[in-house]
Amino acid sequence: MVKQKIEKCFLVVFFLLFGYTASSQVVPPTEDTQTEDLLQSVLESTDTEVDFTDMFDQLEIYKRRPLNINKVTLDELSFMVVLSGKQIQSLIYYRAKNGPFISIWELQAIPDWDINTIYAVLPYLTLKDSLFQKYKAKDFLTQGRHDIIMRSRSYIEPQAGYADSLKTLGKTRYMGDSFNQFIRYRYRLGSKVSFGITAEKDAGEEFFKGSNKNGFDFYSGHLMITNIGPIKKLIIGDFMMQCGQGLSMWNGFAIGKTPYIFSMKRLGTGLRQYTSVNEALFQRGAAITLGINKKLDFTVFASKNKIDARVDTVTGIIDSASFFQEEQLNTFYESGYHRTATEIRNKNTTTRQVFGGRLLYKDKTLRLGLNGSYTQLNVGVVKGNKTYDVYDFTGKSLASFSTDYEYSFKNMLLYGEIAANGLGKVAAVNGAIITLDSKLAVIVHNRYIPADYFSFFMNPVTESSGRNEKGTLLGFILTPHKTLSVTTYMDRFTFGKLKFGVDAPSSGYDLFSEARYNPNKTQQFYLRFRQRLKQENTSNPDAIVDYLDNTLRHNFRLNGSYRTSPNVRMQSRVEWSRYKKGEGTAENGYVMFQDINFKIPKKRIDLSFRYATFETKSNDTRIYAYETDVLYMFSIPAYYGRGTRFYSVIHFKPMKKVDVWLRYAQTTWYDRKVVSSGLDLINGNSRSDFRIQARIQL
Amino acid sequence: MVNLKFKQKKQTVIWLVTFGLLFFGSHINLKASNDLFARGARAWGMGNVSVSNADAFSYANNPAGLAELKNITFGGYADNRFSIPGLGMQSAVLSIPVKIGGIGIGFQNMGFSTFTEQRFGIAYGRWFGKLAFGMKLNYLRMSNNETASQINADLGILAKLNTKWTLGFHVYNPVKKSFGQDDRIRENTITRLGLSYIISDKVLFCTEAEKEFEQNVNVRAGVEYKPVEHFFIRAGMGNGTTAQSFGLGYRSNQLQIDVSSTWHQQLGITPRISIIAWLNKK
Repeated sequence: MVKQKIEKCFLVVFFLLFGYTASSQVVPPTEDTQTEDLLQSVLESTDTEVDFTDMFDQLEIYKRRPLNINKVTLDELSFMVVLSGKQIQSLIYYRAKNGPFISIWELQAIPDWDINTIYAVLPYLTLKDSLFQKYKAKDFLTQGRHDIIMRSRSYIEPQAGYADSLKTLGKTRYMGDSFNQFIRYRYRLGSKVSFGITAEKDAGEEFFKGSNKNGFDFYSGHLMITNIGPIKKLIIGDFMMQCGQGLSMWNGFAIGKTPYIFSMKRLGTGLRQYTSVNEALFQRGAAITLGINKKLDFTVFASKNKIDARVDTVTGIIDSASFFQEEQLNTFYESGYHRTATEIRNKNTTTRQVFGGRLLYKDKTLRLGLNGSYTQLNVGVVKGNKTYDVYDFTGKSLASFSTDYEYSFKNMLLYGEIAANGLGKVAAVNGAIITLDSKLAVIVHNRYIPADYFSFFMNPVTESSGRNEKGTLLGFILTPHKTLSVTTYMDRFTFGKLKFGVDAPSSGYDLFSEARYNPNKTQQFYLRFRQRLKQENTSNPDAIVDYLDNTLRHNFRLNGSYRTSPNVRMQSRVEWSRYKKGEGTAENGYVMFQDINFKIPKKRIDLSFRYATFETKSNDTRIYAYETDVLYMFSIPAYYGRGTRFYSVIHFKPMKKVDVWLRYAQTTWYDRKVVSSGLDLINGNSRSDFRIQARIQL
Repeated sequence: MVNLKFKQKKQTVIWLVTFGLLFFGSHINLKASNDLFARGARAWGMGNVSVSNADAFSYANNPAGLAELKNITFGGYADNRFSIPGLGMQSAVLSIPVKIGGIGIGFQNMGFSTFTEQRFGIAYGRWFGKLAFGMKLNYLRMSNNETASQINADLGILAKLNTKWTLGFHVYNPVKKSFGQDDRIRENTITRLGLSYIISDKVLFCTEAEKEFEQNVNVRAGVEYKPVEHFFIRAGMGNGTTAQSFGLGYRSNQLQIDVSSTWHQQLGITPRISIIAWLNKK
């Protein structure tokens, strides 16, 4: 025991010395940069726009009032996306084993924590207790913080769907204007109380008229109170549940398969407030988490909301004299768009009620969860008549159960979830992260999700749509030198049943390799290679039967980001892609871009620019690239066709408590005379996008 | 200081080679890889990476590895390709250390009643400073209704770059020899280049690239981990037919048993087993 203590003292002294030397010699990267880099990688395989307001908000709160590292919980740490699930576990495990941290630099002693990670989370952690631990009634007015964010955006060029001629002809059209409007108010008192209202209207939706007489198309709100006696968390309004590995219940955003392979292990933190604008994947009602004792938490929730779906009334014959009428739910719509008459007709057609709970046991090395939920719709779901629809869910209600676990043992972290639904169908996710050495860590992640398994709120890590998949990912991160790391994974998967566009059982693999070189704090380079094989119906026109062809995709990327001065940050990239299907000819594509970001601290102005050229043979060789957006927004558009793209973002502070962002982006194509199709068609070869955002913090 | 610079340069070269293997070798569609040799279940557990590791199956993997031989070693191996009856391989290797270096004698058999392929061979490997050289003579016999046979050779090199890194190079049948007088049918040439990195006494990381004429380059990587004494866990991956592999091993003072399972994109799982015995080990 004494020896241990002495060892620990030495350790602390060492890190104190080392830590301070390190901090005095180099300029650490700002934590935002690192978080952005990570999100960039995490998101960069989808064509999406994601709103991370909530996460960054939470981080801002922590920054103002850092968390005590000796008391910080898994839940709080999970907001720091730069930390992998494994790193969070390591900290908790290390603290349990070695006792309280004596210095913040002792973080370096935790296995899996490198100096970059520590710099990234340093602003949010402290050794002291926060000054405002206890709040009085009057603090609600004086100590709380109010945030208001307003955002508006639109394409500049007119799109076909807004033409007046469609109205006179009575054809399908967008009923509203082309602006996307967003407003959010948030009140917070530390992490004690949170209250928020979010309102949004998508482009093309009506505003204060027609189908939206109340103004916005979507409203969301919540009131959350934490830590009052045995009540750990109480939420009234919109919330989400995130359990286990996402097999039975996972609302909201989830990280899938990414270059950060250890993030595949999810950290189901249970109950959370919902402030985002996805109109389908959240719960509306009330939820409470009770701390039964130090090791046991119990969450129970009830939710009822209206969701979008196509519901048809069908007439059936019982006998020659009597008929019956029945409503059938054909398709769920999760896009949240209510722009055309059809979309408006499908809005809120179905009532969904959900009841559920979670019992969580946690100690120093083990987390064990028991989850259950029951979902009831007022209309029965029917399945389609395609062969691949055979295993789809039908009916009005479904129960779902699962048990999830995480267990740290020496240098191993075992995790997983086993789920069963009320129909007796079982699915499982199991994995292990093993730190073989400080230079090598390995992950094995297996999923078994049969085609007939279903849960309304499933969202596990998968290659394809979530069901009908079995696969194993094997990956490792090798760090032979502190400036160099190599991440490689091989994921193989089989789809046992038919899928859309795949008329037979099929299989494939995904091979990824990336070498990252950080010669110093201001420069970072990486070389990335990816090869993916999947099977699809042949496009051979002479084929009598649709046999499967292998489709092989390659991506090859070289990226460099570097600071030329403390206020100037540059990023350059070249990416090549290749696509080949069966015996067809291979198609190629490339994207090349240069980013410049510079700050003028005196004038409180921040400027970002990108210029990109791209040429891809077809949509199959399209290339995704992350783009800087107004704060908290992340857009990852696909570059396709032949053309150029640029954008600029300006951020300035006209007043102390007000931030304003302006963004203008334009793509010009040289291989086409019209852009997009259908209602989104633009007559011309360019598309421009303008957005403005303001934030007021009181 | 000079020494340090040299060391750094050497490290750079090592890394260039590694990335060369990992990146540039692998950008082509890969159709097949070479499964013709009984390389032992240890190598197969690590994704069929073997060129830079010396073990009881050096005879088949890289004859230069025989230079490391210290005891008389027997290796027995069996597999069942894709779990399909009849598609099996059996092999036995006897390795004997001599005054300088080591000698290996081996036999392997593959096939079923209507098709068999047999290989016999004798190999020798020895050190020259930090470099080991090895060569092997093979007799290859295939019989379907008719029988064809040839004698060909292997060459191999192992280079100790430093205490942690070993480079291996191996070429099978460098002259692409034909069967008898008929030069339309030739046995293929297979070249392999790889690196082993001893991360600690518990962890070994290795990678290699393989090129067979008329086939695409195959790049593989594998890990061997010793969580407790006597016990090994292995995993490997590659972009060829062996997409993933896993293996276990138990090693006592006189005996080693390895099992592995490799996964093929279309054909499924192949189980493999090998047994190694050190005959005069104390």
